[in-house]
Amino acid sequence: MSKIDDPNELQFRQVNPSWMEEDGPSRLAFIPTRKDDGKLSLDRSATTTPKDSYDDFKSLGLNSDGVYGLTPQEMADEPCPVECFESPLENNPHHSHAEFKELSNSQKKRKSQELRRKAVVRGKLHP
Amino acid sequence: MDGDQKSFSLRYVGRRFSRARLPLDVLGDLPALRDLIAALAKQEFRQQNVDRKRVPRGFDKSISFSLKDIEEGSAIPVFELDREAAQQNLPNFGDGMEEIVNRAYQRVAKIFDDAGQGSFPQALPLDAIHALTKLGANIQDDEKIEFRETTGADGHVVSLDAFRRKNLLTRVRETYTFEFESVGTLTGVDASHNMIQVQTEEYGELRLSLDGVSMPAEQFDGNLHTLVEFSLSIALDAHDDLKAIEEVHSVDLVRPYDEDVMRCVTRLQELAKIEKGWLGDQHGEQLVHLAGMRATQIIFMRANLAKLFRIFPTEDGGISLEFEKDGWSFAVEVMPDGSLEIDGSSDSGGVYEAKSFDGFSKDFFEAFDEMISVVFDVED
Repeated sequence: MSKIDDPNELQFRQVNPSWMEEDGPSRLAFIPTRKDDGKLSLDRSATTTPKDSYDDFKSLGLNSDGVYGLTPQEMADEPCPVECFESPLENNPHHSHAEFKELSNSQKKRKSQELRRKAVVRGKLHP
Repeated sequence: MDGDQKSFSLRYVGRRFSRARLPLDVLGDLPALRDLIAALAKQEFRQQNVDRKRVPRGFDKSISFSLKDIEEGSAIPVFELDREAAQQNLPNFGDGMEEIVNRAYQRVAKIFDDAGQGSFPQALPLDAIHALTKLGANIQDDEKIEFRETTGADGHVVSLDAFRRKNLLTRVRETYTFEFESVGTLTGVDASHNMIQVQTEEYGELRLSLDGVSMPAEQFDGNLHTLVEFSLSIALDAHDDLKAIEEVHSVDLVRPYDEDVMRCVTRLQELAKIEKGWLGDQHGEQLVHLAGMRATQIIFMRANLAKLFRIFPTEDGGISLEFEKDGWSFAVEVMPDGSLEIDGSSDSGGVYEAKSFDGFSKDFFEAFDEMISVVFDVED
């Protein structure tokens, strides 16, 4: 597992349909869930596209309403910086993650608001 | 006071009663107090006239009060015995009735004062108990009724609050009546028995008979999981556990006049239907009813923000209520156990640090209003 070098390489984040309203996603979509062990699951734009990332995600039987994007630099920005790592999985070679483990619960919430704002400004990438 | 006629007055203490406002729901206290005074007066008459089986004809009717005034200083209804009614109905009593009524009023105050000291009447006439259950039924936790011109054992004016009332009523009978107005979720319709089933936050699932209510059960058909608002009289025991539904005053489907509130309610109804595992692989709990109810209440209580509210389920069965304005993002997270957490941050680095609350309280709403005051003019 190594850190992603390019601070501008877009990382894709799938958003569950329940975490979407018409005008955008919940901040909850940008906090790792309990099963994620403090790691926010992402896909690397260096090796996949928003569409492929979305299709691959759904082919695993998971639900996504859309794909949003964030860069490692945006993740590393204050407040509450987090780092991005490549972390390929057997069923997803494009997988990466942002490491939230060092953040307290209130820091995670604050960071998720920041990430959500940036992702919304960039807009939904797919579909 | 007219001439030497004694008047009685109650002082309602609490925010609802400022500037001599007397909410209509407490007006029922006045006839209840009359009934209580009349019941105690009759009891005294019988005790002093053991040779008589009944009070004289017209005794009850002669105890009639007129509301004279509502004075300021919170709300102070002032009332006095209607002498004319007393004379007409009981011509042989003269001013005797006034004295009996005065003593009965003092006895009412003593019953409440004694209850405050942990001392309760061993027995009361049934009609007195009936009147007692109605007196103060709409007083809320932070309110009280003072019986002016009475002095309790502690040297202060005698008063009745919800706690004292509950203690008293559950000693003179097993339960006390509580006027219960709230909202719940429709979980069942039994048109053949004209009943519906409503899940409430406070007392779980209630079966409500709609006999005597303007809306029959069949009109609730096709509205499962919809919010209903209701007004009931319920009997609670000393532990505030529900023992019976005494009367259903009204039940209706919640039909918010405000389309933004309606959108929020509809969204919550949709979220109530999502099933466990919505986050995949058995992750993502079903929405917990308590969290949904609390979120609904926040939406209704801050309906002016409904246009901005975005509503999402949390993975453990709670609700995240999120909204944005002028670069600020706010969130209220309602946990499955009903506890609450609020926080906010802005795109220019402003932060409202997370605060947690066990449930709804004055502190919660004050903190909520303080949080949003950076972008909203919060009115009282």
